[in-house]
Amino acid sequence: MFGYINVNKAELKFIEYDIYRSYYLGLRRNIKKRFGSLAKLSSSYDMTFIVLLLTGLYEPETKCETHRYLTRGMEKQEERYNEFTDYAADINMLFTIYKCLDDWHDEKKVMRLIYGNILKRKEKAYCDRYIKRIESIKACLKDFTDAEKKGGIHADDMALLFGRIMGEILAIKDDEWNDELMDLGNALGKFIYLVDAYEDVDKDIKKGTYNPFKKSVERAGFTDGLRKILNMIMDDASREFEKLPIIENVGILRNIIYSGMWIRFEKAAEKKGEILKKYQTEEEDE
Amino acid sequence: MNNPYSILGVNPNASEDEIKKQYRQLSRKYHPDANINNPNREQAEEKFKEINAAYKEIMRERTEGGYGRSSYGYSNYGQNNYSQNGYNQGGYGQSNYSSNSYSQSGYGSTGYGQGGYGSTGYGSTGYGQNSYGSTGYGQGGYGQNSYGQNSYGNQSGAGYGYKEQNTYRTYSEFGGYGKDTDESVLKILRAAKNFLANGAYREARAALDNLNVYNRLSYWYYLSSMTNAGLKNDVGAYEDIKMAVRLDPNNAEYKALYNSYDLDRGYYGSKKENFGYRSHFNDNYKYNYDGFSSGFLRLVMFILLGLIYYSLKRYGF
Repeated sequence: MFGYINVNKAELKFIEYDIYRSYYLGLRRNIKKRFGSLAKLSSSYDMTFIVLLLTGLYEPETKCETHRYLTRGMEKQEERYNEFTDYAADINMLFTIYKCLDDWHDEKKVMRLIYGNILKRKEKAYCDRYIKRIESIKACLKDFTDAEKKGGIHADDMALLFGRIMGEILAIKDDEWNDELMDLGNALGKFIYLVDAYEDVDKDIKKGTYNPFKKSVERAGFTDGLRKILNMIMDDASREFEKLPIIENVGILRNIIYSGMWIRFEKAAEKKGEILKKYQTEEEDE
Repeated sequence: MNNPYSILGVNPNASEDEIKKQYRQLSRKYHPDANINNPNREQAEEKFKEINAAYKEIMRERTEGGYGRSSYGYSNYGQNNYSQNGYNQGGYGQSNYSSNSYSQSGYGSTGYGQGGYGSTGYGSTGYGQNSYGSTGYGQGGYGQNSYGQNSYGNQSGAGYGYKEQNTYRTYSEFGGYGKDTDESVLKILRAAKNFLANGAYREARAALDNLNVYNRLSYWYYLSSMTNAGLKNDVGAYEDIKMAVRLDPNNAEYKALYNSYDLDRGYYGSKKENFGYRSHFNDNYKYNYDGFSSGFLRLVMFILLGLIYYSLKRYGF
């Protein structure tokens, strides 16, 4: 579940990209400070989206610092963080630990098992403010992993379970925006699950591990069909998103929702040789 | 509610972003947290609730009215029916039927409940065991009351609803099902369609699943697709409508639902090109997506270098 929520860099304005990156770096620093360098090994782009979304909705007090980075030739980089950065760092930890244990379970990667156990010890650093939320997210995550282990479950049911996790993550305050955030999270979670399953199907077929698309992926037009399904899911997601009164950084968020989300799927599709053909309703002189 | 636009103080033609901006401004002013020291804080809170409701109403219209999935077919049925109760009172789907009996008695064993669904008392004989076997569809009759009139009476034109109870034996009311289709099959389809119209997706799903696989023809898939869509089973919804079209390629209704999945349709389809969606994403493939590999390799390299450095130091070079 890492690296699915991306920006379409080519379509972002420079200033928007800088702001996005500042939240990203702020998050990375937060993770390092509270959970150690080891926790930084997992990608944080997805959680950056969460920070931006919640920041846009609740407009909390946000601090901005500058730091120099060796890897950027000692150039000054802005870092932004607020209360949601703490929250997103916690979520990142949760998912990193989950992924470690999952990789150990599926692929017997010993390093991941060790890594996961090291990280588990840092769990007491979770933010007190959101402890309850973390617990409910953990419960949803457990439901999901139990279902995965069971295997043989329909794609929709699995997707819904993962969607619930995302919904729980976004519906942070249980307030008047609860429904919209829940539904947005559900849709994004479903999207992520299906793209992940699509990416892994070849690997899972080879290994004999469970994948909901095992039987259907070889059918003609499968990728086109999946793209339409994903499009419909994003339709739900975008409608819920636009209901939220977000002004700040809405350009970045829209870039992600309307365009960036597709990057990973289209990459996987390209690998399978299924590049998106132009729309059928394209004008003729195009 | 009075005109929500005037409550917010925006032009009805305002863009969504303008509306959001205005909402934020007003919300900041009237939010309870901002009015703790205000002697009129109760009025402020009232106004705040009013503003919230107005904003939500406007945005609901803007995002759901007439776009793709949410207004298609099944939810059109639903909306007609609930418009009588009013969106504010009953809510669409959720609170309306939870206050009725079906949530209590469940539909499997005791039947659909006494008050029945909404105000019409359909299924007073119970849906689970008795309904389509012996007592038929329930006392209110199928489509005698509100939902019969709004939902499909108009669309089919042939009016297979309420009054002409016998006419649907002379032609097939459901695509793919011939005139000699067994009444028990038709009853199931009607029940499912009715449930669908009222937003009772789980009940519709159960009804449809109750039908023997051999009896699942194109219309079954059509209903199943909309049911799945209501349950947010997106993969199933798409596969079902694909099947329906395959079984009956000339059916306009099926085609319309199938086409609603096209990439440029719906709310999302019409908006995404404005926000950077392109059909090729070559530029962005340079990102490394696996959460681990780059950082992990760096760590491994670091350790190796450290070991080399240490051994060089130790063994003196």
